[in-house]
Amino acid sequence: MKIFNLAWRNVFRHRRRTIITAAAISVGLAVMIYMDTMMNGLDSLAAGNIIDFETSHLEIFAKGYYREEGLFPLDTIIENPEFILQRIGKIKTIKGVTPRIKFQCRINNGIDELPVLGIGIDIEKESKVFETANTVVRGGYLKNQDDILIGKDLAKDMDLDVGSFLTIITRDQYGTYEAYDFTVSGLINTGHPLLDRNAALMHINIAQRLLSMHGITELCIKTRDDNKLMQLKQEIASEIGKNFEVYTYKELNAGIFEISGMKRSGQFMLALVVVIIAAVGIINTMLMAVMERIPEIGMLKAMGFGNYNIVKMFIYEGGIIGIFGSLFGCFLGLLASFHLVYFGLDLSHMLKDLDMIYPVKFIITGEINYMIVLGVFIFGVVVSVIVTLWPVRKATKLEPVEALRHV
Amino acid sequence: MKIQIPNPKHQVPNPKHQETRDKENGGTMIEHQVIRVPGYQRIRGKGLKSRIIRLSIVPYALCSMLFAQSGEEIIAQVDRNTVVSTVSYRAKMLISLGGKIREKEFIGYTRGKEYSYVEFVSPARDKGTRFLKIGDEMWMYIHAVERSTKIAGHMLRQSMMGSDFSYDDVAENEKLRDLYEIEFIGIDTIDDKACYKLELTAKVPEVNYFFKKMWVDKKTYIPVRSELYAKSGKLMKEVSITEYKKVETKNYPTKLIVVNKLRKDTFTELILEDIELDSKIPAKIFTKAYLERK
Amino acid sequence: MVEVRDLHKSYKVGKILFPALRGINLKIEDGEFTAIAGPSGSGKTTLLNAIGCLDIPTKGDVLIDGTSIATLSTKEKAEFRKNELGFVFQTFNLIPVLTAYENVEMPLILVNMPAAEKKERVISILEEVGLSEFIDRKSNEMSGGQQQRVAIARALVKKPSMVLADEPTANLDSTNAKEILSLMKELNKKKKTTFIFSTHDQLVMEFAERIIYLRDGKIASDKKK
Repeated sequence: MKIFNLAWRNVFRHRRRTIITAAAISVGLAVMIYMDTMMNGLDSLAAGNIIDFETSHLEIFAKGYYREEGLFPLDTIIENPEFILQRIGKIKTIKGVTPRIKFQCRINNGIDELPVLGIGIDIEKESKVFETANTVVRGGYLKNQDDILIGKDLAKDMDLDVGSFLTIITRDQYGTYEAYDFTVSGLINTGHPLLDRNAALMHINIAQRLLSMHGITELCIKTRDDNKLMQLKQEIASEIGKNFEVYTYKELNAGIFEISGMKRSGQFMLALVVVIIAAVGIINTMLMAVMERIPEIGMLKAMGFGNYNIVKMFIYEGGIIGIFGSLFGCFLGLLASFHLVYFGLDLSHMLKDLDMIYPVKFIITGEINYMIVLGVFIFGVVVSVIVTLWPVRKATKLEPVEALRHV
Repeated sequence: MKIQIPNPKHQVPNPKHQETRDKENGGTMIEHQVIRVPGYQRIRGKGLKSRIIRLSIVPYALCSMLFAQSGEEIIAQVDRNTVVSTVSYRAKMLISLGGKIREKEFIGYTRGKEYSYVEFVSPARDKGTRFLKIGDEMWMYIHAVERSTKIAGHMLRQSMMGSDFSYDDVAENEKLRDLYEIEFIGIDTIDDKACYKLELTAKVPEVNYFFKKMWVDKKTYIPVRSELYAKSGKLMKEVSITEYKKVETKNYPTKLIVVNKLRKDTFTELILEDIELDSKIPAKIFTKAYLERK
Repeated sequence: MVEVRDLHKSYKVGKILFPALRGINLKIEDGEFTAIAGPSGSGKTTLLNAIGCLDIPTKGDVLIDGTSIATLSTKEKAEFRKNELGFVFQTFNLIPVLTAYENVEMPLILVNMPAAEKKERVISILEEVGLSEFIDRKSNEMSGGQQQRVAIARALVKKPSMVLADEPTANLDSTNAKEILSLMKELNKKKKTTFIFSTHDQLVMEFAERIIYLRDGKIASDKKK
């Protein structure tokens, strides 16, 4: 028999202690894995919505456009997009480019007015970059010049439907008021709160007319390879020069991804706290268990077991319990996570009236990050070893007689 | 005898119109609205009819110069009414947005064209909010924050105190002759008063309303009604001055209603009370120090 | 050979320092079957523990085959115990869920020995203590006497030069006690292993060849039979 076998036998000898410790670890780890899976899902969803509807992978602006969050200035516009299109036309990884004009306006149904973001789109090029055309749930896409698309939720808020008239009130780039009548051609339901509740889409040339401008506010770019966005950004920037700015969707939504990042460490902290609380409870149990075994430790010392071997034995014990606990915890966590991945969590009722900064809605599906699962597994084992070891250190400092005499 | 000056052909900019033009241009956007040159319009054509019309315009044009005033002069008269050495007043403002009504009260001081100061006294949450305007610059002071902010840039487009005006709406009124081509159209009757009807068309791009119509009371030179139009030709706001106070040679408006024509039950009513014209107002009122006083 | 020189040991009992040993001097030769006897509190267990380097003396020293225990580090003491000593306790101190075999095997974990040889050792020593039929019996399923035999087997499995037994018969009935003592005497004769007992049991003293009486921490008498 070796020390490991001895440790193994000891683990099964104290069944209740083993089960409690392993169970506590399991639950903590399962929670951590599930939360991570959910957060991954939320991130992807948010990113997905942003990419599919709001900014696509990259955006090009005139230099100085993106100076203030939520400003949408009309004085810093791209006057000739052809220059940019010509320059970036040779970049193979670009899948599609579409121009957009974003401007602040109010939507007026004769009774109420709401501030919304006006978005002028080029319907032909849009389809290569954005998914908006596929999200029309009532009516049709933009056809006639005076057609406008609004979100299903916005329509409901303003008592509008397909065929309704509405007036868009805005000020052109010189500040002159414009009020223009549109017909609602369709309602969209994208899952992105910005487009569903706070935007109105129209033909880009109408937008230009309303705003008395020739140019556009931005070019949106979709790429085939969404892992190499920073490289693509550099490539584009070097092609088009100093008069323009290029941003990836993550940079444009830094706030949101920061929140996500903060949420992550917050979530991690929470899980850590949970685990620490569990650990403290385990330490208590372990303390008692080790106390019970001090005479046994004394006997081992009498037999000539050095501290090194005694500690080694307890490390093995902690490790074995940790592995069991972690295995079971990962199993539970993965089980719950698979449910989240394949069935998802339906939050559409809960989130309906919430004003979300985070661009998600409806059903959250998860994404399992196996690296995290592995990390969590290792974490569980390590915690278990530490928790077993800590009370033993004191015991090993005793003289054999003191240990043997210990009650 | 009323002199009828024939109306040269003019058009109110019209969305349908623009549409056709768009199609003609192959669907590209329009550069800019056509700015009409007022006064003597060129009548095209070589036929006899056109020649007669052309010839007959001349004496009419001369008459208009002699007997009636040009649009610019009418506006100049309007301006003269409101330029006083000093005014101090108490005002009530009734704001209705979609039927939701709010009342505010403020006191104000104006000196000449350059200086004005306004301080809200009611309701409680607006009490202590102050505005100072010197020339083209405007500052705002909120009592709770204890700091003054210059209203500039895109802030000027924000609504003033929750009303239907924006800050730059107010500022624009003083520069009509710089911003608009003013054309005298004819005589019209509003509420049994004879009025000069004027049409104002933007002559620079940086205006708030591309097109305005004004009816100026012949006797008092008060613009009893103004209609403010968007670029598309849609009527956006209607401003009526229904009461005024006569002080020596000047007529000072005391009741003003602005109706939002695009939104039901949305209007702002302004009533000036306790008006004192040409009294002595200490100069310190029009300083930033006074604005920021505790 | 064990030499005890001017050994003192005091314990703190609450606030009072209790002197258990107050200067012991003696020599024990190889192969002896010696009992350290005396009334309760006389210091006999303390002396045994000191000899077994299970405790640190307050003053004085123990030399085993010339090596001074006081100069050894904790590690060295453990090594020493591993190689030279075997212990038998009043409370057996076996691991209950392990079998007799496994309990006896435990000290061998520390040595580098081929598995087959280990197995042979364990089985043969269990045979010698008369437990060949109990090899795979769990120790918590054995009687007191059987357990003590396992403890003895465990103490002897590494062929130590000395076995220290602290009140080995205290938890046994007289029949079992006699059997155990005969067994140990036999092993002493056969293997020349030194046996030192700490006891107040008359029976042990009958088997012993030399009795060292302690009283109040000092040697009262030292008689060879």
